[in-house]
Order: sequence, then structure tokens, then C-alpha cells
Amino acid sequence: MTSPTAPILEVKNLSKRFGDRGRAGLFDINFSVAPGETLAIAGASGSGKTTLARLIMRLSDPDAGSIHLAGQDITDLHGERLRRRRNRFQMVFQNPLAAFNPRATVRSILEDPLRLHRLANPREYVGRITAALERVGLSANLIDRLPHALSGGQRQRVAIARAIMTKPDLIVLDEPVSALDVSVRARILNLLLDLKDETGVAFVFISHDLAVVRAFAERLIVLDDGRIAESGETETVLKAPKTTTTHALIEAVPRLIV
Amino acid sequence: MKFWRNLNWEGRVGAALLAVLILMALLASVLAPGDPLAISGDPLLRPFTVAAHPLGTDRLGRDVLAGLMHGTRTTLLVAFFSAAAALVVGSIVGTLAGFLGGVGDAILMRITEAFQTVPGFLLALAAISITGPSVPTLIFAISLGNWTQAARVTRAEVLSLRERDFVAAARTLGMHPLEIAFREILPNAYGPTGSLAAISVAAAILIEAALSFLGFGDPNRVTWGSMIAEGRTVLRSAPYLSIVPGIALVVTVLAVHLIGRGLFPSGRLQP
Amino acid sequence: MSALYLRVTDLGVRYGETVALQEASLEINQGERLALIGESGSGKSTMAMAVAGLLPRGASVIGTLDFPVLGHSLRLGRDVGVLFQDPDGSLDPVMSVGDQIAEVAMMHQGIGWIAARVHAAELLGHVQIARPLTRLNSYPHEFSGGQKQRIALAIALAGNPSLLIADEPSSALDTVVQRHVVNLLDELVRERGMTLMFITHDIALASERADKIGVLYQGRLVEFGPAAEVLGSPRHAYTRALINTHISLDTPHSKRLPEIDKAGLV
Repeated sequence: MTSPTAPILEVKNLSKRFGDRGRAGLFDINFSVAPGETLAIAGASGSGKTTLARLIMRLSDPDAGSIHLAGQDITDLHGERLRRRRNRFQMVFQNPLAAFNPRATVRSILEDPLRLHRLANPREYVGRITAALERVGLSANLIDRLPHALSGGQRQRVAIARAIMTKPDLIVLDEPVSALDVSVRARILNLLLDLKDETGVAFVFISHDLAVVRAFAERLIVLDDGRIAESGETETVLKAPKTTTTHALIEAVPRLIV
Repeated sequence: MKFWRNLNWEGRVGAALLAVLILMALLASVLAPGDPLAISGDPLLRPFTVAAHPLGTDRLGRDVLAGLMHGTRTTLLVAFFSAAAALVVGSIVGTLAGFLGGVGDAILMRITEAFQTVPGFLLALAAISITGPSVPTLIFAISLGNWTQAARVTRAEVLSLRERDFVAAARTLGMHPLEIAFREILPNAYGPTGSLAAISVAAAILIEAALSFLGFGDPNRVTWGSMIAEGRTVLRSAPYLSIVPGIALVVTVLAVHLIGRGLFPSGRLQP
Repeated sequence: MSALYLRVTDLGVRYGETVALQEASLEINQGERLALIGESGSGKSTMAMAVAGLLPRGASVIGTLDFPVLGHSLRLGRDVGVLFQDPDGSLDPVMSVGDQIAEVAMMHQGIGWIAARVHAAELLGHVQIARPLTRLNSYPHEFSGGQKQRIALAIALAGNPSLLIADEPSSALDTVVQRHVVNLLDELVRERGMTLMFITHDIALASERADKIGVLYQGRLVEFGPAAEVLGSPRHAYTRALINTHISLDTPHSKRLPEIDKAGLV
């Protein structure tokens, strides 16, 4: 039995090789996420952040190490057994347009999780979908729109609605606001913060933008070339960065010079 | 009506021509009642000379116009159904190959290549000589040569779609791989296959005509191919017997081609 | 005081019924850097493309564009180079990068093939691609996103233009690479005495490197002036909102982030 303070996600000695002749990769990654916590994983492109996200989401298999979700080892789960667990952990992708079947309406997109995990009977779908849309600040009359007919911010909200349909314990967010205008980012981040407060969901937030990380995450891991360069509480790491990678990431954030 | 408005002039001409042909096929029994293979007048009457036989008669005195109209039925039936069968089978094979990858992909592609190395016409000929000619076997035989293009094209689309985020999203939601293949991927892989449709139909028409010409068509039905064959022996004295059905063939293939251009203009693969 | 390079007077762009831009007027002097800020659909790219002469065929344009220094309208490649957002979209995947740069140099500088290749190698060096001579024969897919964007910059500069238009050049790149590309852009433009028009949705990025700033909102230029003025004492509510809601490392860590309230704007 898991105790109340047991981590919702534990990653132990995770390694995976990829790239040209397996030179790049993730090496010996260890961290954990407590229930309701937000952990940010920051790094430049090529640092392995997206590979790590896909490993956690079991979209690919690691070469070594293990992944534990709410105490259960999910590293070797495949097929039907894995699919049945998927309602507990969901993902929001970076490019909102690429994350949807171009021919699927909002209704169809949001029906999928209900149908796949049998969370409601078909008569209740519309009600649940409307409620989910309202929860993410969208009007119910978007229900029959196709993805290309929505704005970037609207699409990302639909993606978030899709992710919360199964009431997961953990959501992995892969650069969820990087593809959006800066003026839209605050709204989406606030939406995520509200959802966290309401449901107690844990977030793994992947980003290359430390300003956004600072506003959003309690703890931070900095990846460099597939290894953990630094980790700790966000404020602490940012105030006293110990590695050149962290320095570079801090320095890269555009500063508003008034 | 929306369909009409969305077509450019090429598509409209093609659609109009095809509409005329379909009407001819449907109304053949009304406009030219009786058996087109029955002798109905003096032999070798030239076109536009006798009112009862506007396009003349053949060596045995059979009406050319009646043959033309009844022949439309066979041609259109065989062509469309065999093209449809080829596209459907090809799409399914291509989707499975692209999605499965690895050994499954390799096996399916070797089978596809085996079919591709034999010219479509010869495949059809071989099939017909085994099964004997009738409309259903003709449809089967002709589609044998046509399906491989659709398979390759669909597979290429699927391979690129497989890496997209929305497929990953479907997996994270817990969708079964087969559902992902046929509900998420295949509908988005149609584009290039659509433009193949026109080519497939045109090819099917010509293969059917060639088979009939060689005598491998259904002997109980009159088709344009058999009419052209019939006209061979009197080609010098009565060329119209081969030319008239020949023109019908050209017009039909042109109509299909134009509709294809109308639906997928400037050779774009997606409408 | 440097000469006036571009004067835009009452520029308007329409696509059929939709108005993408209206009544936009501004002035840039030679050697100045102008940042155009706005969100998607605000008209900022439309304005840049109108200046470059790259609007699609269906667009109807009113207003005037004067180039006093040039004395004639802009010639693409020769007078103006354009850097686009998507590095993959800017490069021909089946041509070596050296050829792509050399082609522009040959066309607009009237030099021969060998001289153009030498020039291409130099430019690759200027945009900080390591081992430029060897990499002349490499293809775009062999480079990273940031490198591709720098190569696209080299192509834009190959014709020796006097104006560079950069349309969200770093939006598709991560912050570290963005920093490099933007720094590089700034350096090269200054070195060559070029005029720069930089389009972005990030006001902080603009503030770091602009002499003049223009803010676009819903197809109108709602603010324009020297950078210090626009940022220090903004006159339009949207500009103020952009400044106030900016997320930076220095903003105090509070529970919720300030949002732009569109209903409160004109």
C-alpha cells in the first residue's frame, strides 16, 4: 500500500541511447515527483527533454532503469495492460495543431478518452464534454469545430481538456506554451495552476524557457546532454546556478529593458 | 450543387461527359430496346445514312448505336468497380504495411512487388483465362494489376503520419493500434490515393477493352472492345465500325481524367 | 542624423472581405532597428510582407511605401533580404547550402561562380557555422534548427541588401539558440550598416535590440516611436498590458500570472 507521501512518479537509473550511432542519449536519470507537485525539466534542444517525456509516457522503451507510477512499476507494461493504466497519466504536447487528428472535431477528440476508458455511457458524452470545455474556459459551441478552425490558445485548451478527462494523477506537459504567443501564455499557465489547485494533479513541465519555469514550477531539474546537471527548488537553483548550462539558460531569457 | 461549384472547368467538362455516359448506360434499354447482338438491319450501313441506324450497322447487320449504348454499361461497371476494389485493397495493405513496420511490412511489400513486376494486363489475362470471362471475374482480374500503386502510395503517407504527435497522443490515450491505424491514420492518408483513382479507372477501362478485343471478354455482352475487334476484318472498307467505339473509349477516359484534374488540380496530391 | 530609409504612409492590406492591416504609418532611418510587436493575426507579418513586396496575389494594398535613400521600389534579394520563422521552409532540401548562398550572390552581385562560392564560405563563417569551407557542400538536413536559421540568414545577406526583414526568426527555436541567433542578427546588421525590421510577439526580445518600436493590435498600429519612449511611457492600453504581463525571471513569484484583459482595450 502506498503511504500518502509516496511519490506519484519515480524514475530510477533511466537510460536510453538514440541518435546517430547511439552517441546521444539519456544517462542514469533519477528523480521523483510528489502528488500535487510541479517538477520542471529544463534544457536546450538536444538535451534529452523530449526523449525523457516520451519514456515517462511509455511511448518508447528505455534501455535501462525503471519508471514507477503511484508505486507500480510500469517499465515493462505493454499492450492491453499498459493501455488500461493510461487513464492515470496523460500528456499535453508542444504543437497544439500537430497533436490532433486534422479530421477530428473537438467533440470526437474529447469523446476518445471517455470511450476508451469507459468513463460514461454514450448518452452522457455531450454533457461531460461541455463541462470539460467550460472547465478550460471554452464555449460549448466549439464542439463541432475542426482543429485548424481554432486559435493556438484554443487548441491548447482543448488539449488540456482532453488530458484531464480521465482525471489523471500526473500530466506531462511538453513545452505547452512555447508555440503560443507570449500574450496567450499567461492564461494557459493560470488555467493549469487552477486545475492543479482543484484536482491535486502533479505536473512534469518540460521547457526551455526559465522565466515560465520559475512562474510555474516548485522544483527544477536542468538537463545537459542527457544528464542531470542540477536539481533542486526552482528559486534556489535560479538564484545560485552552479553549472554553465543553467547559466546559459538563465542568460538566454529575454529581458524587458524599460 | 456544392460539388459542381467547387470544380474548375476541367472538372465540369469531365463531370458533364461522365453524366452523359452514365445516362447512356442507364437508358440503353429504353433508347435502344432489344438485344444489341440481334440482327436488326442490312449489314454494313454507313453512319448518318439511314434514320433507323444513326451510326450504321456492322458486318452482320447489328446496330452500332445500340451496341455502343449497351457497351457503356459493361465498361463503366467493370471500370469503376475494379478501380474501387483496387484502391480499397491497396489502401488496406498499404496502411497495414506502414503501420506494422518490421517483418509485417517486409512481407507485405514483397507481395506487392511481386504483383508489380507483372504488367497489369498480363495479370488480368492470366486470371481471366483461369476463371473464365464474366463481369465479376473481369472486375477481379483487372483490379489485380491496379492495387499495388495504391498500396505504395498509402504506405508512404502512413510512414510519415506515424511519427506525428496526434498518433502519439492516440497512444497515450490508450487507443488500440488497429484503431489508430484505421481511424487516425488511414483517413489522413487518402489524399494521394484519391488522385490515383482517376488513373486507376482509366487503366481499368483500357484493360477491359483490350481483353474484350482479344476475345477474353464476356461473350454474352457487347462491349466497345469487342466492337473494335469485330471491325478489324473490314477495317479498310468500313473503318467506322472500329472508329466509333474507339472514340467512345477516348471520350470516357478523357472524362475520367478531367474529373481527376478537377478534383485534384495542378497535380496536387491533396484536394 | 541619418537619412530616412523607409516611409510608410496609411498602409492598408485586405484579403477580400478581411482587413489584415489598416492606416499604418511609420518611418525608419537608415541603419535603425525597428521592432514590430503583436500577437498572431495582429497584422505585423502582413506589414513586413507588404514592405518586402511578398504579399500573396489575392491581397489588395492601399497607401504608399517610399524609399528615399534608394530612389526606387525594393528589389528582392538586391535591396532587401528576408528571414522567415521556419528554418526548414527557407532552405531547399535538395541543394547544398553553399549553392543556395552562392546562387543569391551570383544573381544580385553579378559575380561569377567561383567568386560566389568564396563569398558563400565567408558568409557561412560570419554566421558562425564551423568549418565553412567543408560545409559548403552539406545539405540542410545535416544541420540543427539554429544552424539552419543562421544559414537562412546568410542567404538573406548574400545579395548585400540594405534592408533586412526578420519575421519571427527565433520563435521556432529554444531560448538558448534564440539568444545566439538574435545576437548574431544584431551584430551583422550593425557591421554592415543595414536597416533592420524585426517582427516578434515577445516585447522583451524587442526591447533588448530596437531603436524604434511599433505595436500592432487587431490590424492597427496602435503605438510607434523610439524604444525608450514606447517602453517607458506607453500611450496605448495594449502596450501597457504587454509590458505588465510579461513573464520574466525578475517578476516576483506569486500564485497567478497577470493576464491581458482584452475587454478593457479599445
